[in-house]
Amino acid sequence: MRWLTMSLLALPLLAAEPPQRVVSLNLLTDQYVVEFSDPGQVLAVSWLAADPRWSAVADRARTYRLVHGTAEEIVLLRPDLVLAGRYTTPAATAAARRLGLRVVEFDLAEDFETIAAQMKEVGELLGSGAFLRAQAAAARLGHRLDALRRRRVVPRRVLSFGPSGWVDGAGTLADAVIRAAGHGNAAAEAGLTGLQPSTLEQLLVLRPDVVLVPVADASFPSLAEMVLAHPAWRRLCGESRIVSVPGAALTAGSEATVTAAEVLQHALDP
Amino acid sequence: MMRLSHAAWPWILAAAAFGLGLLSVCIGPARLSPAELFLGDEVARTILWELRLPRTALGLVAGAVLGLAGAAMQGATRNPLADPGLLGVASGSAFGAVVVFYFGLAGIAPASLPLGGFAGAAAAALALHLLCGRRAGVPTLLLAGVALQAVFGALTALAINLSPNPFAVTEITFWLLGSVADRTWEQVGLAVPPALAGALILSSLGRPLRALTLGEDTATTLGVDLDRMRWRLLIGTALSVGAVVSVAGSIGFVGLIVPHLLRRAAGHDPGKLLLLSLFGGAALLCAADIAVRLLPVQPELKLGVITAILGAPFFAVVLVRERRQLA
Repeated sequence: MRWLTMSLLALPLLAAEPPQRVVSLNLLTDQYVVEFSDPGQVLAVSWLAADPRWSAVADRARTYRLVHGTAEEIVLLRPDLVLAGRYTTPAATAAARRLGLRVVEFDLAEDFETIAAQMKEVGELLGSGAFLRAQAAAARLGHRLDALRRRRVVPRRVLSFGPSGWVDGAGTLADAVIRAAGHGNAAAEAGLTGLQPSTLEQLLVLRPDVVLVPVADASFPSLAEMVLAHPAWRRLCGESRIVSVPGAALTAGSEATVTAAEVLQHALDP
Repeated sequence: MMRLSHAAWPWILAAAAFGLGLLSVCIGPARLSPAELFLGDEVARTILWELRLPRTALGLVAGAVLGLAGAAMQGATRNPLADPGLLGVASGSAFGAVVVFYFGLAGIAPASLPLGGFAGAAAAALALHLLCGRRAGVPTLLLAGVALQAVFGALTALAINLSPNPFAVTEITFWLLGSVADRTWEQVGLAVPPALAGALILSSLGRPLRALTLGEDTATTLGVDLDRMRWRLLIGTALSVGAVVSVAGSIGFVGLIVPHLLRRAAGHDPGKLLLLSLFGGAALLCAADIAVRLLPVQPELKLGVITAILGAPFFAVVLVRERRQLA
């Protein structure tokens, strides 16, 4: 019965003419749109999508027109569907609404269930072909998570340390990655939720076994990165393993996010 | 206050700085009791030796230098509103240090960091001198300071935006408002020698500053070489302020507040005020650093936030007093 209602609800969406002038304003939806859309269906994605430091689809995104999320771009492009993040480009989304355009906003996914759900939601918005591709991607995500769950690991206390010196507590993408790999999030165990500023003293007290760091193309000096070079850190936690995962895995949810969990699991229990 | 002998003040202030330093060592985000801290395990020992002590040491040195430089600048310009922060010298240092740090030079040669701070501070001080000339009034000096602060603040933002690290932008508050959190002994070691050298040069200005209170002409007849004094002020300030800003960011108002508070204790003698401001600055900055750790704000406030909140009322008071004198 539930299945029937769902199909009936989905029917008008799938039957309707799929959008032909799609603009995505947020890395989160950029990655889905680049993966699932039909050729020629997408007008533009955000400039962040073309940067391999945080985008998993940078190569393909470069073939699209790139926008910076300003209201002016939306007015000029006249899209028939705007996909945006809930908080990132308020001026552009407001402009799109004033023009009477269709706008769909997404929250940043913080667990794998939400990533799978968002994949299907974006696929549904883009049309039947995209929906099938999105469903397949969501299924792949599920299989890979199952495979991770089946492997036996020695649970370790992992701390995810971001490039701006913040740590990932409970309810973050990094937390989901650590748990999917079969380990414990040291920051969440200490009661931290969300992205939290940290001081070296707090990190030393946590004493994680493993530090998860997103890695960009190359490392350039920053005050935050100096924390892991601090003599106090080296003395107490110099033994802790540092596992780097692609930066794109942790910025916004995508299939690359599960890759981060695989990298973490294989690095610790080869 | 006036009944205290002038000779007692340096000791009192030094003791205050030492006491606040001791208190500062006992305070931090890892809530450890003094017993745990001093007699505890390896974690406590590391927190004490590698985090709390360098932090406290740098806070004391930075405060001392900023207090001293403020007193020297106020004496030499005979302007109670002179301060390395307000006049743009600290912003210049921050710009120099930012360029050296974010473009990787400091990673190759660590000593280039205080050198960058020195170059920036010297450029700002020289620009100030060129803009204001010899007999600058209070408004001219302050306007030039505002301009320099704006220019170097903007250049710092530009340099950070152009730097190869995309996350550097979030670190601009460190350079504009200053902090001594999570610093290392290496950074303290980099800053202390030039800071000490600059402080020695500034401390030697006592006699010319005292003579200058009688007016420029009288000072010259007393054998004070004013040009030489100005050069010593410039180099001493650039060395010391440049060094501490390059590792702790630019912290404003210390050089304004401290000499102002201690002028009566020094018997209005700009020479005596130098030493008092050195100890007073150390004590004030250490107290501000204790405050940022006690306030329940996350992420921890930058030092410049506290010193500006304390300093702005002083600035207003001095300004009103100056206006009365001019009227």
